[in-house]
Amino acid sequence: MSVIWYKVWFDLWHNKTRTLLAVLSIAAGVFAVGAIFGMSELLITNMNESHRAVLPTHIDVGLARYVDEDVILSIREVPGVEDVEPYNSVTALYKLHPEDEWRQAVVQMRPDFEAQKYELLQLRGGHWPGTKNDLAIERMAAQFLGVEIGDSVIFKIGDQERTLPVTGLIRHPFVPPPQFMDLAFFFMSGEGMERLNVPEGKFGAFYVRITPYSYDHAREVASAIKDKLAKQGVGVGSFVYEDPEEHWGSSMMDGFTLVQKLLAIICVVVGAILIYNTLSNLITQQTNQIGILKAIGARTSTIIGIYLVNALVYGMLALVIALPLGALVASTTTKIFLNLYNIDYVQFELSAQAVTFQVICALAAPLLAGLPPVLHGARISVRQAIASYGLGGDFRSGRLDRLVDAFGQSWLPTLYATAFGNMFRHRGRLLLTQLVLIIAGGSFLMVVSLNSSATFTLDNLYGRRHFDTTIQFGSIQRAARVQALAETVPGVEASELRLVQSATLFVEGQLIKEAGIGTSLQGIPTGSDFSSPLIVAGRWFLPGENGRAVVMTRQTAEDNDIQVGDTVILDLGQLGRDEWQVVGLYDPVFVGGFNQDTIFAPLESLYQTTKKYGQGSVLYVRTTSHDPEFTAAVTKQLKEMYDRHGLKVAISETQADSRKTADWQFAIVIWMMLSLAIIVALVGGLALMGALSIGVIERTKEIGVLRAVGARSRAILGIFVMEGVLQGLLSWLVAMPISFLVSPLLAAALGKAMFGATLDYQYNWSAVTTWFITVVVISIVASILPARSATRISVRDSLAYA
Amino acid sequence: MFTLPFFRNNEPQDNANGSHPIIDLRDVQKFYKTVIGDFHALKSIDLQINAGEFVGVIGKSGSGKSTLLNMVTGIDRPTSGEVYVNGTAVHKLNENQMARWRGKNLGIVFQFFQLLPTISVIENIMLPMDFCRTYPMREREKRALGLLEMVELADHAYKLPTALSGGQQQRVAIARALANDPPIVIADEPTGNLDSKTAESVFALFNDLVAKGKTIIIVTHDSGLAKQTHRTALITDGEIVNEYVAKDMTTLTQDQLLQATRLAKCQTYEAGSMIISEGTNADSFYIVSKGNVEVVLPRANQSDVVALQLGPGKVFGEMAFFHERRRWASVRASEHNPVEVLVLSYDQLDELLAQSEATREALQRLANRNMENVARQSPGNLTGREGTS
Repeated sequence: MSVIWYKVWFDLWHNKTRTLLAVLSIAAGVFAVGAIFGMSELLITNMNESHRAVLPTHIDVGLARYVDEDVILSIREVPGVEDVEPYNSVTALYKLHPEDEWRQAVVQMRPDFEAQKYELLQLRGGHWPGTKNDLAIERMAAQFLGVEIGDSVIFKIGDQERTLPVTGLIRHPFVPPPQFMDLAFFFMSGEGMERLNVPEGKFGAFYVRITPYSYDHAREVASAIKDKLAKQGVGVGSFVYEDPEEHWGSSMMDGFTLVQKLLAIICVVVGAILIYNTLSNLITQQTNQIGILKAIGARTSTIIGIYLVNALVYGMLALVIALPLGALVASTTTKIFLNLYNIDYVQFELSAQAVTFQVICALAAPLLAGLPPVLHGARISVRQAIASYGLGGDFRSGRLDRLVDAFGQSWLPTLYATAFGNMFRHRGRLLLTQLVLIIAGGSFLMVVSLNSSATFTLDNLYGRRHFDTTIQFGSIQRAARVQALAETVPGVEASELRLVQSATLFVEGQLIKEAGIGTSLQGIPTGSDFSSPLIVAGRWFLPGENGRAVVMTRQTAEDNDIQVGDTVILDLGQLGRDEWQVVGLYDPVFVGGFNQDTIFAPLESLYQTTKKYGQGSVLYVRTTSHDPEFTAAVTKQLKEMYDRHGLKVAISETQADSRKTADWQFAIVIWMMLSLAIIVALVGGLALMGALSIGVIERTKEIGVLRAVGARSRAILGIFVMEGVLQGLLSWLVAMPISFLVSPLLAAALGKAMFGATLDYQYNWSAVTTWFITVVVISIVASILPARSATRISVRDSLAYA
Repeated sequence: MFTLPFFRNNEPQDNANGSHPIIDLRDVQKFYKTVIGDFHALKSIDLQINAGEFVGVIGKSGSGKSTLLNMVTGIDRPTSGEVYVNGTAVHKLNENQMARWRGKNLGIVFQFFQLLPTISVIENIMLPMDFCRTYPMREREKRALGLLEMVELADHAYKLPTALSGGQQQRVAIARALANDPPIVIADEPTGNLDSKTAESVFALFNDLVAKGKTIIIVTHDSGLAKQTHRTALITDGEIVNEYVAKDMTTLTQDQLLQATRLAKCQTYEAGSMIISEGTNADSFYIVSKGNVEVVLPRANQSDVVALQLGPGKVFGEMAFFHERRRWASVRASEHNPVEVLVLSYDQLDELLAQSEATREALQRLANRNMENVARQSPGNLTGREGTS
């Protein structure tokens, strides 16, 4: 082996700081790639695998009333139906201790828990509910509530309370995380459900799987099922469709990880820039040695090989650090997110895709980044490399140099003017360092602005809601009675009962939106001041308007080419179908997932269509104080009051709780992005440190001369620290307008991709100050080490040749 | 003192017998572009060095010594002109070819040693062998150790260069320069960073290498050391002062020597031809630069006698300059070979001497001495002399 490789080893080992900085900079990016890409692949793969494992239903049918099992089983005769499985699901109130508030629950049953066909529930402890008093709890709810087998749960059944022991722990594949929604899931036998007014032997819902499966075929079969049931006098309340291959949350996670992946790649790029600086540093330091090597026979290719091996070693060391760490974080975050989706993740897995990307990034990035300075250094002539004429006249006399010089002399003390001029000596290096710092600053400002925009959006959204709580009844109620009762509760300022009906939307004969989780027709009093959706086209309802007018979401309209003025058909099932004119489009902010896609109509019009005059099921309440505790107390009083009067409340939610859930959803994403932005900022600091270190080496003789003519350590330190701070400030000045221009675009794109939301944009001006302070601190910290090493250069050492 | 078992026996070659010089610079010009315009670093350099010669290049700081050396080593390229080293047109090689050629044909010793600080002494010496693969891998370390023994540093083989003194590092640098057994060694101020005693020991090493047939060119500012070389090339303002002018008029300043070089015209005389005749009017001063001339004194019986032979570096025509401007003897080219002389007119000489009283005095002393000799050697005296320096 040629002795030149001993030099490579020496360079790596004996300048541990430089090696460590270079390795860490690449490792940061490679880690981010491993963590994010790994998490994405593991998450989606496990989500989909878990989804497929539970034999998901293709269509979940909710009926308007309970029917015999035979009626449901007769659906097998519908062409395309593979099989059906009936089940029941009702809402209930529960508490864990007598002194607790009542909380909302969903209770489900299967005809035979041990012979399930679809949407398989999995027993995780105890036994399946079999007797009347058996009660199983969903395992996520159990964890969230701290409930174990043997503990008791108190249910509100009519006017009485019933305490049941928890006898089983069950995993349900399709429940919202308790952190998102305070809705616990329980399971009972058919006998037990009778207490909750579910007739034994009758069912209000069923699962259907079709063959062959396709998106369109599912809708065709659903229509046929609806027709068949209609002939038997059974109305369909809702259809919920599921993709059998893809977990319902996977598209949301795709959008969520998309931005993270982008930031991870930015981390790699920033790390690569640092490698560029490091190798420039090394080659600058060893220019003389390169000249000697060439003088004694080394060819350009040998020189290139020596320094590229350096880069390769940095990459390999970075891989050693980042690969396991990235895998660990990927696995851990995958577990956290899978747990949110109630999916078990037990054994550690490695994402082959992520490992491949990490290897490519770790090896290719430093090699590619190192190539320009290595090629430049290798091509330097022997004469240039070993010549040493005084202190070098490398400050060119171009216009910019003169401008910089003039500015410095006019406005800055000598020391600062020196630092200012030093910044512009190597424009290429300045550009790269600035690029890294600007990316860091821009990322930070954009992420914080994204957070501000999210908060602003929510502020606006909730600002358009002039109510404090909603109460959904289990059945249709008379508005006069409900509202009169509401006004007897102290703290209630006003109330409004609205009629909500499931609807199927048709446009020009084509089924557009099936009635189900996402679509409902809500009648709203035209003079109501309880909420005012954000109208983006057309108009809201006029006072007294009672024609068949609807206002729908912009998304639905855009997806189906519906314009303001078009006519659509709303099929209300047994209540018939009618034509309605679209008079306006609104932006609900959040679409998809668990979000309602509500079509509004004047209440009077809906009364006329449904013949349910003066009735409704959802009560909107405005309280005299908007304090969260106050509204929670009023909500509790209202529920207790309605309960005393025999009006069953299904679900209630204060706006404060709703807001908290929305904030939490954003928070996870924002924090992850902020973490990555912080990593980029740290790497930016490393880049600055590297650039300043190069400067110290290049100006070794100059520093010696400064010392020889009287400069103290403080002055030397000041020059380099000032240069670092000026670099930071320059990057801040540039990052600000860039982030200001790009943030709106980013907020729009991210809002759609990650949250399905149209965000109201707000630039976070206080973040500008925060970043100013941050970048100054980073600059000072980054420049301390090189500045200190500059002060340690003695006159003798610096002026000695070589 | 030093044993040199590792070198091929390169006997010095005499250019006079028709062989090519080992280093041949022909009309080499070098311009550097600077902010304030072009700088003419080397001006029409013609320099020939024969194999086995030990040549010193001296000059003031900024005179172009290192630039001249860089032309020979290929570290720099001439703007125009040609550079031949050991038969290779160096000015035509690209960087990679140059690097490889240099590793095999030249050993370079730098003023500041330029050892790689991150590898050991012995590894520094092995590096050129690794690059040029002149020796099998298994022999390289042994050879490197042998070279270290030659420079009496074998005990320090595995230390880092920074553990050695300046003189020791320079000896290692010399050993490295000899790693591939090149025929030519170039040293740029090799003793510039050393104390006088160490400098002497390094020079002694160079002398030993020359004795073994190496051709060595050394740039030095130390004229005392330069005198230990076979030849000295004085370079001033990018031009080489004629060595014979420099040798002969030592009391002139470098600028004056350059002026003299520029003023002097080179003339060639066929073998046996008369250059100046006794009794004729004198108007020129001569310096022999190549070949031999014979000083002929007339005898009473009309047959001339060769009183003296003058070789390169000797002068004639000085007596007439100071005494009556009339030739006191005849001078002709040797019968065996043509002769080359540098000719200065008396006006030019006068102009030069007007700038240097010391040179005038020295030349006058020489003229007076020679006149006395001629007077002693009357036409009847066969031991007359004309012109000694």
